Amino acid sequence: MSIELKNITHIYEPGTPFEAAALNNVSLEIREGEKIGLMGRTGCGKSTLIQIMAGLIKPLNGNVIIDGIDIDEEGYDRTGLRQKLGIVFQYPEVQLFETTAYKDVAFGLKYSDLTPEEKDENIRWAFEITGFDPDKVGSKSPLELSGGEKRRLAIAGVLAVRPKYLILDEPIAGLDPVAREKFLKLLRDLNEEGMTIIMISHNADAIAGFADRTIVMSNGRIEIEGDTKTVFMDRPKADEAGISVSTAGRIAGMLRDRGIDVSEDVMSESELLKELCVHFNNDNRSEDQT
Amino acid sequence: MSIIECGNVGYSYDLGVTKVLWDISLNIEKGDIVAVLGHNGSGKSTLIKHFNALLKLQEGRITVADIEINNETNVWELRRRIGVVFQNPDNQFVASAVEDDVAFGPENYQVPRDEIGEKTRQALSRVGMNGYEKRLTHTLSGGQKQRVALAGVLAMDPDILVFDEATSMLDPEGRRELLDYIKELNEESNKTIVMVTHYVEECYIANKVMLMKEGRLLKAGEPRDILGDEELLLSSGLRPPIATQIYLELKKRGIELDCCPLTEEELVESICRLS
Ligand SMILES: Nc1ncnc2c1ncn2[C@@H]1O[C@H](COP(=O)(O)OP(=O)(O)OP(=O)(O)O)[C@@H](O)[C@H]1O
Ligand SMILES: Nc1ncnc2c1ncn2[C@@H]1O[C@H](COP(=O)(O)OP(=O)(O)OP(=O)(O)O)[C@@H](O)[C@H]1O
Ligand SMILES: [Mg+2]
Ligand SMILES: [Mg+2]
Repeated sequence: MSIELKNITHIYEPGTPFEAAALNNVSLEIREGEKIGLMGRTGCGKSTLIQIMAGLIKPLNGNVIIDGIDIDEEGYDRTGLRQKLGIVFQYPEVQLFETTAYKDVAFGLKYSDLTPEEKDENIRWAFEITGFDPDKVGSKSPLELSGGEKRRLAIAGVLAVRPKYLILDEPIAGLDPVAREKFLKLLRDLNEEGMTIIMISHNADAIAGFADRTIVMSNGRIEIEGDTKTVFMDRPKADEAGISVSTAGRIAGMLRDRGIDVSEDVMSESELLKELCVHFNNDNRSEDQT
Repeated sequence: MSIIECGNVGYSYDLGVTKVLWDISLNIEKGDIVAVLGHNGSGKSTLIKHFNALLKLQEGRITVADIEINNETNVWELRRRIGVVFQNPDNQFVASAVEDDVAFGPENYQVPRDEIGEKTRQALSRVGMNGYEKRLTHTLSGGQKQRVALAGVLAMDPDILVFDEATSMLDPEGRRELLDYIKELNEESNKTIVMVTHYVEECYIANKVMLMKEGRLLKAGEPRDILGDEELLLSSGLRPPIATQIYLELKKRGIELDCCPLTEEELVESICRLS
């Protein structure tokens, strides 16, 4: 079971003065159970790629194959696709259009086979795991929420469907630090339970704390791809693709430049801390000996 | 002289049933760079919408650039002095083509034609969006939209610039460039800057930090006093910058650096000094 993109090329508004090449022969496979980070400069094609993956944009060329079936095949079950693949858009306002928050979260379940009770249960679960009290927020208009609250509501709406594949476009933008931490933890838990997750982010710390595999795009192509640590360790390549590496990784690099011996593969804060403790204790020990 | 002054400001979206701002008093001086921090829903955007009279003042008093905010405020004059970039650029766009959108502000203030073209070009190139003049704003990528929204405010050249999470969709290079530019605007043209952010790391360019919690201004002060105060940040739902966290964790393990760093560079320097 997987999402497969085969030789995807996309040009917006071809043949007009606005013609813009967005993707250039991209092939990619995402296997069930993976946690994928997707990074790259503004305008490199990330949002286009995931919308094609979700069947929301038909590419000029290439195939999208989900669980073995080409989604452009005649008679493909699009409604079924909506139930198994959830997408949270870059700006949450795009997907909040109902009169109440409850209806917004319920929207995706409209065509599901669940009983009304089961649906309600899913909806309440989605509110709760995104930090809302459904009884308090459910009747509010989505327009009456703060920026970060709108973001969380949009996420809740997609999670309520409990999709098999979850695609997130800059989901942590606008979340405060605690909400960010909780959300990344939630993603790891959902992944443990079997959800395949693809997250776009400019935030290297979030990607470092989440993704097993990271894909970096540049000018409509996949530029770097590999396990997250390896991607972040290749600083020249990362710089060229315009992504930053995790804060801890960057600090480690600066320390190495100054002649302090910390390992090349430091990515998280806890790894950096461990290295620093070793460094200082070694120092103390050598002083003791002299 | 304070360029923004708030005295005991309170606000409720539902006729007093739930208050979302409580007794906010603050002073922002001309030439300040103020970072506003606070958890989701703490009232940051609500407060800022008072500065350019998008929300009607219910309680307390506010003056911005010597203009008293009340029912008789000349909103026109006010918004020439203070420009705000909001969280979602789509709500900010007024024209469909990029160049018309950026030119909208200056046009409305009767800037001469030839100057408008020049201002628009400058603002777009400032945010790296030249070449996109004719594009329709709704066809831009997420980060491109945010850049154009920024250009719209830059073209107006107001004395006070307010950014409500205006860097949230920028890539690392774009973010760095914008922060550098904010600093430059401040140093060279004495612009006053207010920036709302969830990234404490960005506070390094600020000379003042305001911390909001549950509709109240919990504390205002120097960045170092607020960002180094782990307890205060944790109790407000925030976290110290990563460099500061490393410093604090080392300290817990008996390794004491000579100063509390706010930035990566400061952390590296103090580690090198101790080594
Ligand atoms: N409808 C459209 N018409 C013309 N060009 C478009 C359209 N939609 C997107 N583009 C262009 O295609 C390119 C890729 O856009 P996309 O939204 O995929 O970028 P992105 O990687 O998600 O960027 P960001 O990080 O800024 O969100 C951009 O240059 C964008 O301007
Ligand atoms: N238009 C509105 N109508 C009713 N309530 C609102 C409205 N806008 C915001 N609120 C509520 O007011 C409170 C403060 O919201 P505000 O947007 O000022 O928060 P914020 O600090 O900017 O949060 P964020 O970091 O999420 O953007 C929140 O509880 C929010 O739900
Ligand atoms: Mg995008
Ligand atoms: Mg806000």
